[in-house]
Formats: sequence, structure tokens, C-alpha cells
Amino acid sequence: MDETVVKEMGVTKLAVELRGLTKRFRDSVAVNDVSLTVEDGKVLVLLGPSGCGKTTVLRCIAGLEEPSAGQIFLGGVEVSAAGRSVRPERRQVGMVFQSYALWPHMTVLENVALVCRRQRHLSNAKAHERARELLETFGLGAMATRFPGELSGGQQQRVALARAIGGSPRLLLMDEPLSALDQQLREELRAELKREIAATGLACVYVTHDQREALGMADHLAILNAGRVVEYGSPADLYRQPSSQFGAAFLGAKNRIAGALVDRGDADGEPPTATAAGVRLQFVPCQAGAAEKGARVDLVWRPESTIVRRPADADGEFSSHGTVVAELFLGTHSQVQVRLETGEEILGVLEGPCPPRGDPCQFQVRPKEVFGYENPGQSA
Amino acid sequence: MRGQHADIVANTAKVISVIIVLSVAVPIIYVVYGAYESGIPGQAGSHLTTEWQDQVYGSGAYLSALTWSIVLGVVTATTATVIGGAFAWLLTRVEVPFRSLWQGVLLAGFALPPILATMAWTSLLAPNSGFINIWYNDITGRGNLIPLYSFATIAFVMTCVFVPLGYLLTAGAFSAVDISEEEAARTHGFSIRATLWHVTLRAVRRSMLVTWVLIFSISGQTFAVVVLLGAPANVQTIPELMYQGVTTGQIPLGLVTMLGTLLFWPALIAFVLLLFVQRKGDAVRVQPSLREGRWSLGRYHGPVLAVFGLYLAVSTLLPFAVLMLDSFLKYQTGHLTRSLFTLGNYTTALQDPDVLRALENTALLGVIVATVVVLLSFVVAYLQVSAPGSAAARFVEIVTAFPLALPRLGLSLGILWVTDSVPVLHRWTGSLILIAGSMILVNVGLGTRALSADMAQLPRGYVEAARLAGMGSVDRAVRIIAPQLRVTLVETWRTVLILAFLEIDLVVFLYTPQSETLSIATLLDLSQGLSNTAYPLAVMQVALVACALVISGAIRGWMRRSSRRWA
Repeated sequence: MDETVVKEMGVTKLAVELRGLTKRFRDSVAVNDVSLTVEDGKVLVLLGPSGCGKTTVLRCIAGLEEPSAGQIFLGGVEVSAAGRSVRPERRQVGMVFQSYALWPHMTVLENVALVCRRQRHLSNAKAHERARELLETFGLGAMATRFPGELSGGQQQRVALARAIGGSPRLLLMDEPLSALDQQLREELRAELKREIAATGLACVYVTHDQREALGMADHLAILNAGRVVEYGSPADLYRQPSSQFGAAFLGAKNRIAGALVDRGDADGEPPTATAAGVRLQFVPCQAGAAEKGARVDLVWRPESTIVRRPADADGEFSSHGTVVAELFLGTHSQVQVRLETGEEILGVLEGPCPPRGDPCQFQVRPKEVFGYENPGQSA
Repeated sequence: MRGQHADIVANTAKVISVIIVLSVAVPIIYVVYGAYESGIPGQAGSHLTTEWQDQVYGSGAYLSALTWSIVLGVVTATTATVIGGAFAWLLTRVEVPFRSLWQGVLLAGFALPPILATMAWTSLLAPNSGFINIWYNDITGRGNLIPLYSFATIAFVMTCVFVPLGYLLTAGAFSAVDISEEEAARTHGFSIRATLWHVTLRAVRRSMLVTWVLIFSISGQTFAVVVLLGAPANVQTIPELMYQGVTTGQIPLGLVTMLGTLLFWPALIAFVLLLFVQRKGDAVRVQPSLREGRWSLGRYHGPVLAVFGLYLAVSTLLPFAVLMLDSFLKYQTGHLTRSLFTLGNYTTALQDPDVLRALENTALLGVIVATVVVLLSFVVAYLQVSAPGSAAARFVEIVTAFPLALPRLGLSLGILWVTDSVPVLHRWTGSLILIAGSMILVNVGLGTRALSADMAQLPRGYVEAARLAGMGSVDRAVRIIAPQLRVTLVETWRTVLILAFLEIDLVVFLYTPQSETLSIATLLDLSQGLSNTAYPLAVMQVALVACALVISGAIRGWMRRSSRRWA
């Protein structure tokens, strides 16, 4: 592959295509056979815990890391394969770094103008003009002569985004752009950032470890674990029916107990049922294939799918019993830790007054919000 | 495709390294060659012989000189590292009033290289005529207080000379220790002393070891102190023998060269140790501290500051004062009267065209060498940091470190042989260009070390963002990296400038009357007993260094003020 400036190929369906991307560092495999695509104008979010390889994928796309195996295509043109790659400065991508990486010795205007000049081959005057327009678009016109160190976190984030798109890239890469901000600012900027990305019309690969951010930003969501893609789909699909326990857990399903299948359900839509820790639960089967009665299944669900009440306040639907271990007040609601008869503990949301620690309680789990996964490793 | 359009800056660094290798290897080869020649290598009548090898390595006649060289190197390295490190700890980790003043006085010690320091201490401690001994005798009637001509005094003078270097080389490591680590120790019952021993010193021990190795290597090659003080003290070192051999002609050149090979062994050991220590623990590259903070010494505050203050007064302020004083005396004496003072020494010196030429040569050499070293070091450091662990980076690291450890007298001799033996190089013999090239060669390693340490601390996002913005390597180096390092660049320039102003070991075999520098002129006048002109020349060197410190300080201050908005 000759190194050439990657050119626009007219209307291209796929802005990014990864085929079998693998990256090894000495003895560890950071990215393992990852294949993904991103369409023009869409946002792909890479979600996963620290060390899962999501940032490494991003850096491979940017050309800052060289893949050990696999291929990367930008706009239909191969830019990376094992042993050869187009240099980062030739890939026409814009990137917002986790730390923003704004050049501290240049003003805000210079930070953006320099990229405009380099990537678009503009004259100094035109580059400054373009930079001013961009800054106005992001509401930063008055900050043009300031240095990055004189800006707030949110302002720096917007400058970083303006700089990233200043060079008219074909693709936007964002490496946890909100992680450096405090919780409140993060929530404020999330919607704004989504709007700004949509306004550019560019394809975007967005990396985060925050599930709420991922669900809010994504058109498509890929969950990574240990260098592999374990889930891929729309945020709604993955949230409602994650195909793996890891994916379910990463999307908030903190409750997990092992059970046995007692009813396989029927074709009319009656969900299957399992008993676990003395509790009878209906669940959504998240894996292909029908399990046999008595088969081991792992039941996973989110705390907000479990409602906990005092026995005095519970009606017939609250048929499951447990003991209150702890209560955590979270502002909008209280989360309760409940110990089941078999000793396992689950989390639920409290309705009404909380029973004292050690006292009994009753709870209900919404059936369509419990995910069941076969556990072939154990026999009934 | 990557590899076809290779990094310009990285390639330049590799070329520089190859040039350094050749520039070092060829003189070393000539030194070894010259050590087996009966005369000057390549000249008519000269033939191969093992006579010098037998004398130096076989007879044991020079074992004493080698032992003194090593002992002096060990003692100097140990005391300078300990005291320099103590100052580094004090000025970076302890609440000290007027910190900048302490630092300024300490670093002013750089303006007292071996020869100037020896002159000052000779004025103070000369038997029956030095100021201190005269005053002591006048008060007590008990003769001399401190003998000038003793190993202890020689070691003391050498220590005073190298403490500023010990401070410079350890201050970075001390300042990088995270105060949280020390606070954790104090919280768990450690006293300040215990915290220093178990936490702080453990964090900087590799840096201290590197410092020791460098000072051992450099001090072991210094000849000026022993030349002036060694004979009456029965102390003879290899560098001193080499100097005497070349200048007096009493020792055959081949024998002098063979003696020079003796210096390579401790230098080689020092170099290997240096590389080993750096590999093991990033002795030079330190990470920025997460949080800054300093300790108060409580009731020990006063006594500790008093001890350090006394040391600075004795090691730096007193010698400066004496040099200044002596430069205005008609002749050197401990009994001062008003009639002894004169401006005539300065008038004579400044009207002497040889002195003016030496002054001009010194200033020119300093500026050129410092500027070129900074540029080359920047390029080399860039390669080291942008491709850490690569074969090229390791090659460059070794190549630039090697000249630092080499004995400069030996290297100087080798360069002399090369220019004498190779016809096409004859025209450069004794030239300022040759001297400048030699100084650049030995100082690139120092500059690279300082710059790569700072360069490694820059957030890599800056460079990566620049790459994604389409900047090539030269653009990145000039627009992104260099502005971040501008204070370090100025400080490195200043350090090399001062070293070049005061350099004598490298110049002593290479100069001619046309390329004489102030340091050589001072040594020659001293050797001929012309102290009337020697002291003004010494003060001129100090004045040059002072100018360099003031100008670079002003530039640094302006840079720091102008970059305050960045932070």
C-alpha cells in the first residue's frame, strides 16, 4: 500500500471499518480480533472497564498505535495493516483527548487556527478566520485570546472539539472527553456534546467507561472486555436484552444469583421461570437455544427492577422475602441491600419507610427485567 | 508507508550520533596507537614499541599515581555528592527563607573551577603568607593553622569545586519526590530524619549514584589542583603527570600517552555503572511530583541553616572575596597595607593584546559551543524520548553518554595526535574550531541528559494532537516541544556556556597562542609566577560567568513571567 493522502471517496457508507484488529504489547493482548464498522454520520461508542482495550482501538484508528494484526479502513481506503500504515498526520481524523492536550503555550485561537492551517492548507489569515468562526459556533468567541490554562474544564473541552473539527476531518475520535470533568458538569455537557457532534455530520468513535454516557451518546454501542467485543448493537437493544452476563453487569445489572430452570415458558410469550435462592423469578432468556428443565441458569437484573417494602406495606405481588442489611440514600431514591434466605444478597429500590437493619422485608422483581443465562459449567 | 518517509529529526539524531562515535573513536584509537609508538605517530623515525606499556603496566612505577587518582576521585565524588545532595534536599524539600539567594550562591560556585579555587585557597592557606595562617599566627603565635600542601586540602578544594555539580545533578530527583509519601511516613510516626532516611533517600538513591559516578569520572581527570598543590604534598596523579610530561617534555610523549590509557579504565567502569544504573531505575528521568510541599525543621531550623550557611561562606564567598582582593594587590601577601592596592594589574592585563585575544576566544567559544550543544542535544533528546527503548534510542544514549565519562586529557591528547598525523587535518591543529568541536563533543551528553529528562515529562497528548493535526516531526519539535522546554533550553545553554568558559582539561593540549583562552592564560601566568596578571585573569573568568548567570537569569525570569498565563 502506497502512502497517499487519504481522499474522500464521494458518498461512503462506512466511515470506519475494523477487520480482525489485534494489538499486542509485549506479553499482553490489549485488543483481540476486533471487527467493527461505523457509518457516516453515526456515533459508535466503545464502552468497557479500564484496561479493556477501548482506548487502544481508538489509538489504532488514529494511527498512534500500529496494529499487530488486522486491518483498518477509513472511508473505504486501507490505512493500517500489520507492518504498514498511513501516518497519523495523513489520516485526516480529528481527536479529542482525555486530557484535551491543548497546547498550553498557544492561545485558544492559535490552537484551532494551527490545525486549520495544517490540515486544510489555508493561509494564516484564512486559518484564523476559520478558527474564529468555529469558536463562535461553540460559544467561545470571547475566549480566543486566552490560554487554555485560563479556561474552565467545560470550555477546554469545547476548544478541544473545535480544534478536532477545525481541520475538516473525515472522522472524529473522542477518548473519554468528559472524564476530566466533575459529575455535574459532565451531565450538563453530555447533551450539548451530542448535539455538537451531530451538527458536524461526522462519523464518531467515542470511548467511555460510563454506561450512562455511553447509552446517551451512542447510535451503536460496543462493549469490550479483555480486548474483545462482547456486545454490539443499539443502546436500547443492549440495555433491554444484553447477550452476555458481562454486558448486563456493565449496563447496571448488579444483582446476580444462580438458579435452576423450572418452566421453559411457552410459544404464547409466557416467559420461562427459574427458582434461585428460594425465590421464583420469571426472566428474559438472553442466549440462543432452549435449556432443559432443571438446567442451571444465572439470573441477572438491575437494582431498579427490584422494589422493596416493609411486610406491612407489601401486597400479594411482593411474594419474595429477605432481610434488610443496609440502606443507602441516593437522593432521588434509597437503595436497599437485602439478604435472601440462602445467604445471597441483592440490591433493590425502597418504596416507603425502610425496615430497620436486620428486620424482614418483602420484594418484587419485574419479570421482563431479569436476564437469564445458561450456566453449562454446573449441573443441577 | 511508514519507514519510507522516516522521521527527519530522528534521522538527524542518528547522523549526529555516528559523527560523535567517529569523533571519539578515532582519537581513542590514536591514543592507543600513540601509546605504542616511540615518537609522534606517523612521523619519520617513530616505531612501534612496548617500552611504555612495560613501564606503566609492568613496572608498578606509576601505581602510586594511579592510586592517588582513584582515591582523589572517590573522596571528591563522595563528599561532593553528599554535600550537594544535602543542599538539594534542603533547597527542594525544606522551608528555607531566601531560597533563590541560597541557590544563587551555591551555583556561583561553578565560577570557581579547579584552577581558580586553587588560587583562592593558596592565597588563604599558603604557609606563612596565606591570610588565614597569618591571622592565626598573629593571634596565637602557633604558626600555620591549616597546611595548604596536603591531600586533605587538595580533596577539600576539589569538593568545593564539585559540590555545585552534585547539587545540580540531584536537585531534580529530590524535587520530584511526592510529598504524600513523606507525609505518610510522618503520619505513621517517622521523625524527619527517619523519613529522610527511609523514604526520601531511597527515592533518590539512583540519582545520587549517577551523580557519584559522573563526579568520580570528571574529578579523576582534573589536573590543575594537583599541578599547583600536589608536589609539596607528595601527591601525584596521572592527569598531573600527563600535563607535566607534555608541557615540560621531561616524559616522552609515548609514555604520556600510555599513562593516558590508565585513565580509561576507571572511566570505562564509571561509564558501565552509569548505563547500568540508568537502565535499572530511570535515574535521570524523574516524574513530576503529584503535589508540592516542604517541611519545617522546627527547632533544628536555625542550626541547620547556620551549618549550610557557613559552608557556603567558606566554600564560595570567601574564595571569591580573596580572588577579588588579590587582583588588586601589587604582590601576594597576607599583610595588607593601603599602598599595596593598585588598579595597575587590570590596566596591564587589559592593555595586553594576548589577554584581549584570550578574552575574545573564551567568549566566542562559550557562545558557539553552548548554542551548538543545545541544538544538537535537543535533536538527540527528541529521538530518545520519541522512540524510547528502540535500538536507535539506545545507541544514541550510549554514544552521547560515553564522552562524558572519557578522560578529557586523554581525549585531548588523542585529538592532538589525529590532527598531527592526518595531513588533511593539519590546518585545524590548534584552531578554535578544533577546540570548539572537542567541547561540543564532550558536552552533548550533558545537554541531552537535561533535555530528555524534561522532554519525557511532557504529556504525550501534545505531540499526538500535533501529529493528528498534520504536523511533521520538525514542526512538532519547533512549535510544540521547544516552547514547552524553553526554560530548560536556556538553563542548559547557560550551564554549557559556563563550562566552556572555564574549560581547561580539554584545551590544555590543543591550544596555540592564537587560540589561547582565559583559563589557559591564567594557568600559564601562575606557572611562571606572574600572579599580578593571573589574578585579574581569574576575576575576568568569574566576571564572564557572572554575566552569563545574570543574563540567563533575566531571560529565564522573563520566560517564566510570560508563561504564567499558560499554567
